[in-house]
Amino acid sequence: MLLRVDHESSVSLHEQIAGGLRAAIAGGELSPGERLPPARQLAQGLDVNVHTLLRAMQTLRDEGLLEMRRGRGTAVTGAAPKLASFTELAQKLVGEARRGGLDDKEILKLVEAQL
Amino acid sequence: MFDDTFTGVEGAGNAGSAWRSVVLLGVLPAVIVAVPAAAIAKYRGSVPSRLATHWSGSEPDGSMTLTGLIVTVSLVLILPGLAALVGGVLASRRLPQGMASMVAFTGLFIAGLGAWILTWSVFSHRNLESWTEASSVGVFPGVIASIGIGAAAAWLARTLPGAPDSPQREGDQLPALELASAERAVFVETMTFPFIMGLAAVGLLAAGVMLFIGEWQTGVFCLLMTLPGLSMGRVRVQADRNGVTLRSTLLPIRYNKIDLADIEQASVIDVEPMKWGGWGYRGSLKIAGTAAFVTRKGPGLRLDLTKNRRFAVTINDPETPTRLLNALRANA
Repeated sequence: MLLRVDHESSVSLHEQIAGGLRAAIAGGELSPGERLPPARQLAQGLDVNVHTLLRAMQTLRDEGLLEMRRGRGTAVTGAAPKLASFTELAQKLVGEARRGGLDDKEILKLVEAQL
Repeated sequence: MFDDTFTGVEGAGNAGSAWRSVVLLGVLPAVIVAVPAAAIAKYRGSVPSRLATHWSGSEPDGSMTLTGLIVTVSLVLILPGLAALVGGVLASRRLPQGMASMVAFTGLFIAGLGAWILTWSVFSHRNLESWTEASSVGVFPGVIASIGIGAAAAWLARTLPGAPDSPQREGDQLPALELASAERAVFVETMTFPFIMGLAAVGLLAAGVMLFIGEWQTGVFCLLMTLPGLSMGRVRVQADRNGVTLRSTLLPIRYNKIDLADIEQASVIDVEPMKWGGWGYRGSLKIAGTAAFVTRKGPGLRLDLTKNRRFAVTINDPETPTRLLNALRANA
């Protein structure tokens, strides 16, 4: 897995890291059950604060892609590969819709109409 | 042949290496032979006609004559060990770089064990009436001493020139990763070594059984023997702006931390296990100047380091860290 962040990008660091991890899961570079390196080691390599890295991991935990267990580290969940690509799609949809002038209520309505 | 070897070593730009060869081929073998010889000469008259060679528990249950012991230990341990040492040193140019060092370690470790067994046998039998009175303590210091003398030989042999090799499969052609100045990147891959995981599992099971039936000494021994296997069972490579680290993920052990500044070149290779000393973690960057973590034959990452050292690790995607490290080196 190659994880990269651009310190001069307008996208926040934790969003870049979360995006990189999500892409690695969707692309199969991180497989279910695989454990991530300790946050401190990844943070040092990316030249970011360890809290920034933990925040990215927590985002992915909330999306159901990672499970974080005390003392056992952070691992990719079994459902992650399936979820990751759709999470990426949903992000794209929301981004495009907002750029197109839709507000959050309208976006929700749009998705609900398809269900 | 000797002259050729020495001038060859000096010709390779390692002035002062001749004394290393003298110590390797002269002083160390002389010590291996002289120590037991001196002990035998001193105590020959005061040992019983037979010497204990095998124990069950603390009771000796096997014996040999002194001559028999000398012949057996010499043929089985000392001579083969010294032959391996001499062969490895003299043939270093035909072996992969760093292999002479590993051969020297193995040879002197084996010969050292033989020397210790002879020395300790006559020493511990001095002034005894019969071999049945001999105590069995004293093997452990011999193992430690043999590892020590083996490591000394490996260190001395590390600068011997090896066969010229062409590491690159496509390393030079791989374009460096495009990395903006404010961009940081980390490559991570975790490898599992199923064979060694299986061995460790069997060891753990054996340890459990031994502890359960109250054979706690054997149990603890089994447990200690599984630790190296466990530590090699799952390993993670991380490459980033700080360099390359190789860590065990099951035990808190860091095998290597190689600074970016020490990396002269990263390349993709096809790892031939025998060229790197076999499977598992092989060699030592500090002592032998060569180290590798090999789980299988096939694609791997090779790092050529400063001071003529080299490191290899088998990973499924060696291209990405090669491109990343070469970009980081160019930016540094």
